Amino acid sequence: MRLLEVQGINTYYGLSHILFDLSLEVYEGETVCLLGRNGVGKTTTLRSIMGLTPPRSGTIKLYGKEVRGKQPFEIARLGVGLVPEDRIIFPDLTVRENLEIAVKKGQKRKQDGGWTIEKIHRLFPVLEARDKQWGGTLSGGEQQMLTIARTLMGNPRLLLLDEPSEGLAPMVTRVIEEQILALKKEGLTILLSEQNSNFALNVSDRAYILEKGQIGWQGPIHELREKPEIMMTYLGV
Amino acid sequence: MTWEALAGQTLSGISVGMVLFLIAAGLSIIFGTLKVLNLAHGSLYMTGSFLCYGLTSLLSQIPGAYWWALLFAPILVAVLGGIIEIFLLRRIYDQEMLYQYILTFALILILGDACKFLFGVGYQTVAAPWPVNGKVFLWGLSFPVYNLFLIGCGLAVFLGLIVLMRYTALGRNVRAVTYNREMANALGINVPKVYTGVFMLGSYLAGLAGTLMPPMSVVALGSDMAVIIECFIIVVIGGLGSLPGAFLGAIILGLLNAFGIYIIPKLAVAFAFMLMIVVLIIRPWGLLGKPE
Repeated sequence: MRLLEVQGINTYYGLSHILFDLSLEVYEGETVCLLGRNGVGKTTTLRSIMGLTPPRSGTIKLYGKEVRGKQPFEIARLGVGLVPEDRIIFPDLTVRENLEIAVKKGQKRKQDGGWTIEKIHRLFPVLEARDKQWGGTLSGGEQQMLTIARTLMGNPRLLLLDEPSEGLAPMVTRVIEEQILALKKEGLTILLSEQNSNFALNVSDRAYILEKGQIGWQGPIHELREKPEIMMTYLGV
Repeated sequence: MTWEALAGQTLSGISVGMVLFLIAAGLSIIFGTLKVLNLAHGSLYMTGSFLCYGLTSLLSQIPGAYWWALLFAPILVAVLGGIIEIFLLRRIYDQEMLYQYILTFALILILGDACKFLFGVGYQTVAAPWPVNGKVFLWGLSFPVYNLFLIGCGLAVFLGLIVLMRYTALGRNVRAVTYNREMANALGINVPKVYTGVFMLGSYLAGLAGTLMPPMSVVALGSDMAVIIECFIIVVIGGLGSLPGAFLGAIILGLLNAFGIYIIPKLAVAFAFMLMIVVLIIRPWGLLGKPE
């Protein structure tokens, strides 16, 4: 089933045109990655879907329902969760409060398979140890885990991960990678952006390669592995 | 200076400081969360004081008229604040700061003229209500009960706000929106609703201050400008966005005014500004604020 359908969106920051008639789709249960060099519009694509930088034209449908023009909190309540590149942990909230804040009214509980603090602690044990600390006191890796955990607390059906491995030590990246694979196994649908192609190839089923605000190439991951010239052309790796 | 005068000035300084704290706290919370410097915050205070006068005279036949005014006037000011936020401020959040100043300055003129139109240009007074009228004698000195009542109110609101901000879901959401409104929005928090709520809370506090002040002072036009300037001084001294800072700044300013007018009346107004300048030089982020 098609969870997300982005059709011909054009997104601007002020006067500068960033995304040009960009289209992509994500099916339920898939992990899809957006690859591309710095500044090609990966973050803008995710922000457009979340409603933070609404496109001026085109359509964005969730389960067939148009969401373009809705406020971010409305899109969040429809089941989209964004983990931003710059993480944005609330420093004046404790680790627990950072998690609780994403819980929405009338949200699924544990018995219905929803996320709870206990379930989060099983996936990210370090957050249990940091429970009462202020969010601002965590290390980079812990912050990345808390950001993912915080978004999960809202029970998203579609998880948008913006460069999850950015700025993390290789060891920590591997931990995050395993956690993303665990989420994938649970059936969560994920759309992630990455510059670190190894990381993205390990966790994704399909890829879109962005170039200058447009889709330059799309296809399954095994094709990317088999044809290194594609990566060479678009990413220079 | 006699002991009696010393004690009297201290008490009156702190109690005026408490009223100023209520206004400054609202100004500070609104600025912290909405990033709007509400120049018309003093006008909300003045509107509250005129509503206090209006309601107490309207209900003068009913016993305890003042207490009804204390209940309703701040609520009316909060509703007025809600209307201002939803219909006016909401349109300019994405614009330059300059638009905020023009809009909130326009509100000073509009609310000032509305008070003039409805209540006239004269000075009005409101008597301290039973049972907080009269005087008490402590250690052989006499104190107006109303001043003690004000100090109690200020402390109660201070503690109430700290509990609200630190321990409730509402306070947690406000702290999150204050830090990053975009992220809070993306996590499913209805940010426009938080904005309206915070602006109404700040307006309520201004209205509460406006209702508490008249029995100790007068209800008059011009008090809007007088208090807004004092509140700016308070938040600069205490630290913009810091609740304990506003509390400390308000007490300092209250005492400074009370003793300044007693010792060198001609320089009374200047003391506050001199202190502000000193704080700005030594600690530009305020006594209890955080450096940017």
